[in-house]
Amino acid sequence: MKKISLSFLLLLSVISSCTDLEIAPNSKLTESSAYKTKGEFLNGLAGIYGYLDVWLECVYKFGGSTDEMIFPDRRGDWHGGLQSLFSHTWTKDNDEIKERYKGMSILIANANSFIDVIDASALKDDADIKIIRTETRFLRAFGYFLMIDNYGNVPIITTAKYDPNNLPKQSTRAEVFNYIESELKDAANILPETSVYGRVSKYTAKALLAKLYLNAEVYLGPGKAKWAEAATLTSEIIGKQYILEPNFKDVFKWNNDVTSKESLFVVVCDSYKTRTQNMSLRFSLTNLSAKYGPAAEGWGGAATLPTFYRSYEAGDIRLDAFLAGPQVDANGKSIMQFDPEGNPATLVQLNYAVDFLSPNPVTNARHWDGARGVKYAMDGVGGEISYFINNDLPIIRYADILLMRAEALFRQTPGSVEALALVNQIRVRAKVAPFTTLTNANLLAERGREFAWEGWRRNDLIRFGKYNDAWDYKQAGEPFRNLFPIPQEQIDANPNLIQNPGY
Amino acid sequence: MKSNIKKNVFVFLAMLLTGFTYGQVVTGSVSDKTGKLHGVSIIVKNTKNATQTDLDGNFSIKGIDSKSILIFSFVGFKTIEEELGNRTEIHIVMEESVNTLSEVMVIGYGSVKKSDATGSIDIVKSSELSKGVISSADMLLSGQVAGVQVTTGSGQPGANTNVKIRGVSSISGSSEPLYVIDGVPIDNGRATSSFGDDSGLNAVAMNPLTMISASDIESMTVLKDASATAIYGSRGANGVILIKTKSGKEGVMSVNAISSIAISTVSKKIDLLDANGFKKYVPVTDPKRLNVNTDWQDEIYRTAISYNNNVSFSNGNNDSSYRVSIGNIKQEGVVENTGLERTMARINVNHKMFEERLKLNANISNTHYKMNNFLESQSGGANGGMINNALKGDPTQPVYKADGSFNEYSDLNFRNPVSMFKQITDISEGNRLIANADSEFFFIPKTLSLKTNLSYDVDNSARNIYQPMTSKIAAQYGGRAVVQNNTYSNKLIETYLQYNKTFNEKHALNLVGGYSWQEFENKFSSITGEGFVTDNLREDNIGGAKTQKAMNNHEVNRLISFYGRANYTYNNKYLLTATVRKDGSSRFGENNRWGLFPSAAVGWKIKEESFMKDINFISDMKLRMSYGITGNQEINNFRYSQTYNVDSKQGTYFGGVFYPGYSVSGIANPDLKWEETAQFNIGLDFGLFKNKLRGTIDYYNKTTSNLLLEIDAVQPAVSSTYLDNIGSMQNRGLELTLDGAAMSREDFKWNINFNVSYNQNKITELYNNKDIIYGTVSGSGASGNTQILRVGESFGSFYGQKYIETQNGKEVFASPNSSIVGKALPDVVYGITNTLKYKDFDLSILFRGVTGADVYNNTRAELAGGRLPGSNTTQEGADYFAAGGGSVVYQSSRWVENANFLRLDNMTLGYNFKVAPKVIKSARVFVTGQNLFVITKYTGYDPEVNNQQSSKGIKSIGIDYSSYPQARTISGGLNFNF
Repeated sequence: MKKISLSFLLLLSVISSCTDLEIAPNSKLTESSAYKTKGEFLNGLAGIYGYLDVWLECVYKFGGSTDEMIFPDRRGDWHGGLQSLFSHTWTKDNDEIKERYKGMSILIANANSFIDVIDASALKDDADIKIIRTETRFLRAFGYFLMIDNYGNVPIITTAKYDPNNLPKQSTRAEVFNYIESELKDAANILPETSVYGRVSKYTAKALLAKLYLNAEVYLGPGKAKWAEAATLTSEIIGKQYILEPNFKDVFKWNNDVTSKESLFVVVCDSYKTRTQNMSLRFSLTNLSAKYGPAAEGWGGAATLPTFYRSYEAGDIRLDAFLAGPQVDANGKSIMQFDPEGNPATLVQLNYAVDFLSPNPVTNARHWDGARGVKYAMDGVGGEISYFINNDLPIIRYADILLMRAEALFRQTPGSVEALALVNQIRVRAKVAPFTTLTNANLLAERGREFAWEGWRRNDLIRFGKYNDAWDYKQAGEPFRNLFPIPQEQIDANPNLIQNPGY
Repeated sequence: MKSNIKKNVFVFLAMLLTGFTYGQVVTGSVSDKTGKLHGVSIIVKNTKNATQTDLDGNFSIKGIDSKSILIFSFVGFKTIEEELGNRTEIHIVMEESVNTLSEVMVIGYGSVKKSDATGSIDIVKSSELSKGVISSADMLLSGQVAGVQVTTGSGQPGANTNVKIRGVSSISGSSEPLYVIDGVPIDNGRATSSFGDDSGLNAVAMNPLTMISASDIESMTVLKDASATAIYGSRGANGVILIKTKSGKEGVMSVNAISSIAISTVSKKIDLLDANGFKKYVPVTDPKRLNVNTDWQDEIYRTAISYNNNVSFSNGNNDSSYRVSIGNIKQEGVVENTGLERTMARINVNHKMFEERLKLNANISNTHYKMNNFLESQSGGANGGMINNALKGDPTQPVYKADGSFNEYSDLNFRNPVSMFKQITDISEGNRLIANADSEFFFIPKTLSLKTNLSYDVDNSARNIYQPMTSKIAAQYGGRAVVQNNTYSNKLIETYLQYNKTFNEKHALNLVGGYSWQEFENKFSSITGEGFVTDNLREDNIGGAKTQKAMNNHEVNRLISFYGRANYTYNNKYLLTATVRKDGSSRFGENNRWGLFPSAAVGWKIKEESFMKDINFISDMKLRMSYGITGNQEINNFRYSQTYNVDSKQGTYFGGVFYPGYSVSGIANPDLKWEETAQFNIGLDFGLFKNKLRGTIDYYNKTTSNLLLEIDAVQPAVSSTYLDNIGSMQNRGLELTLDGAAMSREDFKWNINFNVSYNQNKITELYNNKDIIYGTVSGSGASGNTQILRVGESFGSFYGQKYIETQNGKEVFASPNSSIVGKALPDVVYGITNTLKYKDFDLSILFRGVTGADVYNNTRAELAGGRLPGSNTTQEGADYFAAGGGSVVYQSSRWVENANFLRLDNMTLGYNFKVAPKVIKSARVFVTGQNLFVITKYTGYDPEVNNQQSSKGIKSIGIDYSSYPQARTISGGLNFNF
């Protein structure tokens, strides 16, 4: 009979204890357990910085819509939406355009969410946390800067929670402009003069604001230029802790967090923890393990265009950012590989031909054609693993401050002596002869050479009115292409959104 | 009870050793009108002395005298008692019992006489005939039950199968049925571990049903309609499969030994260019390669040998019975270095006490498994996996270089597949223990009882991978090792009352009411090391690698339920069943945590009506009708609540110090709730000509609403999608099963079982009724998706441009716009089993097939476009190349192929013979052929195929990309019964 009472006891205990379905996650935090101590907020901020990886994709994928980069269809490889980006025939369903829109939005939304967390926290009045909050606002403003630059008219959302029955309303490009301006002004006031490497300072906010002003005419329309404001802001940065590194390569080395004081705003990359993709390998280089070690098995996609490549003068040290012609290994020995185009049995020297053999490489290019980008030099000693890198990617660096100021002055006074001097600082470092005069064309070209494959070419071409021109392998296009379409799936999800003109 | 068992074991051993007998011996035979009966139980009344008839219907029983009364009993026949008298030989002819359908079926929480069932239920009994190499129990259902489709997506031993009962009723959630083994719902959710593209670390999900030995299964019951499944509430929407394992039988001492060996070969190779063919398109001048003709497929495929050894013994008396089995199955795969080895032990013990007022049962099983994975790649990537590389390997390239090293002849897009299996190891090894014990106490004998069931199910596994520095895939990392540990466990406490009573001989009432609590836990950890100093320490010294990555996860979820069922039968004519289950799941938020799942069914035993009495050719007829609602909760935990991750992948460095990122994990949806499936079923069971032909027809209409789908979030949002209950889907179908004796003479019996089902799937609602494109295409240069969810169309429809022809190296399409160009789900699934017995021979033949299905042949698409000079291809690809073709359009009907097939799935020939009748009750030798031929137009390895790719949270279906080919297996063995 023992067993009977046992059954009964079991039944009773079961029924009394158990309608409980509340289970807390073990490996995650909940709203009640998250953000209890001050230290956690710095990790929260680190999380938001982590979403800057959208910039890396923009550098390459949107860079491939300009005269500095092409993603050809290489015998079927890389076939997809990248070719229409290059030829300016993209549609509102283009995957790259869709994914970047999401990437930028996710940066913004996570910043919103973190700001909501801070505002709900008892620690919100702590001085350090106020800085963290402002920094998060800066990062959100950067997200909106990417949005205004690429998509133009987007909703401004500043909180993570919104009513699904009252979907976000679209703001005009001008409204987005005003919002970013006011956020960055606040950031410039609140953020400290100096900050540890990897975090932004007061001057980063000023620099981004200068960038916004520099493009004011693009964002706000003809006659709405803000050259003077851009000139003033940049002058406030010049002479502070940032410098023009004497050695151009130091700005991009694997340990550029130590070797360079040029960057105001960087995406910190790391091959161990965050495992940042080495974009050179992933997007541009082919197998260069003979030169850079076994990790360097590139995917072989993007190349620069012949005209862009030849815009560098002889002796320009910046041309080292590209590999062209027959390739040698670290000891100067020819890199012999199986010819991917011809007889697979034959070893030939790896050769990145600057000129594409095909008249239309967009649709059919050889695997090795085109000069390859390797601005972020692989070290072989920094402990790169596979295609992850340690080289940090500058978003805004001091050279840009100088050239922005030069441009802002030049646009106001075409004969500005200071403008010429600023540009020549850059040229001197590049070991090329100084300019004697500044023109729209040579200023744009200089920016191209200096910031090649750094993500600003599209912005520059549009500001100089050249984005719709014809260039190597590309026909002239239509002005509406200066804005990407709002991805159709976003319009489907939020009927308040109105498509950009032309799409 | 212990001493009894001991004694019996002792007696058995003594018999084996000496073969001695005691007392008087009587021999005899048992037959029915048509022939000898095998397995008839013979008990000497009021003793524990018992035996059963052998395959020839003969028996022999010892230790009796002239006053002994022998009781002959057999399912479906009238029990006979005979006093021996002074006979030494006795021959009995048994009569079928009036109600041939008195057979009892296990249903959820109880059992029911088959004749009284109101739901759509099928039973598959494990026949004693071996069916060859069975790597998982669900394969036993293949072709056996109308409305059940078992698809092995891969020929890899141990790979997961897809079991679909009455179509697909979930898009993002699982479509697999619930498995209940001996009353314990088992946790079948196993994720494929994914490491992202091209890491060579993906592996197929292992089939959790590999842990149960086919020879331990007594029966599998498939619950199909809502009346049958609603008692399982939120887990019943995809149907339920109840597995009952064998237990000891009262009075029958039995020892069974099976030993078999099987030989498998790859059933089909892809027809690629050989060296001569290749050289027509690519000039080869290298003298070392002129005479090379490498068939890379041959290099990785092999003749695989498998062994199956199993011993079981069982015994029982009035109070106790037990069955113990132990077996080892070692199965090699047809791809080199793949395989599955299992050692399975099971003990089932039953005991009755207090004059049958208390029944105790315990089942304990443990399976040790070891699975060899291979480097597979279902997602393309630049370099691909082993099969992919075997297909694209240049036939003029030798496997090895002159110096004996692996010939990695190309820098682009090729890895030597032989070097992969020779160098890379990837082994999953683990133990699964399932233990359950239940007690049933009868307050009123045979009327009111309380049953309590406790169970514990734990699966501990480890996966160890080593990719040496010398392998091409890991050279870039300096060697790579991964060690993963995974523990899935679940605990169940369940208790229910049963009441069973017939009033006034007309009102039969059966009531069940209970409560269940089940908690699932998963612990996962993984360490990866990269950059090794030596290849000699492998995954056993990850601490010595240049870098280590570690991650782990721990999750718990719980399901609590209250349920009840009432069966009422009036006058053995009118049947009524009502069930209700209230389920609470921790996967949902407070708003929708509890769900109610009711069902009702009626049955009418038409044959019992007086007006049917004289219609002699109809021996049985019953009409059934049911309606009910079931649910599906197979989604991830914590999707309803806002959670935060701390994750080192998301962080950054501030001033050179690393800060792991800390951010919200996705968009929470507090309103998430169950997917709900409402199902209507009407069916007719009939028996004709004295039940020589039995059949069942069912029609069903299933509507699943509140589908859980990943929806594009309105941006800006913290993630790109969120999970919501939006959308609905319909499955309508007809099922027919016929089971008849074509011949039933004494020495020749021929039985035919035929089942066929028609299912039509239709998506009836989506988010904003907008198409969802999914089904990633794979391969070098491939991008995009090939499948579509569209309102009005079937789940798994293919989407692409309509291909017309290829002209001068250019593909010509009817239109640049995509449209629906096929569908993966079949219209008709059928199976035919013929069972023949002639004297001592038996033969069973299973054919099965589908019609109306398409498969997207991604492998062919990749082979056809952009191939040569360094990569081999098909003639199709070579022609395209020669005509100047470049890349091909993947989203195209060109690659969507008719996947109808008819397969000779299993053919088994057996011969039963007598060796030493006193010791060996029966002996049997058998030969089985599996997958002997397939008639199909499909050009890939096999039309039954499926990648485990998913995009947007939706699993692709019917996409074939470098799949593991199916094997053709011939096995032979012996089966002894002592």
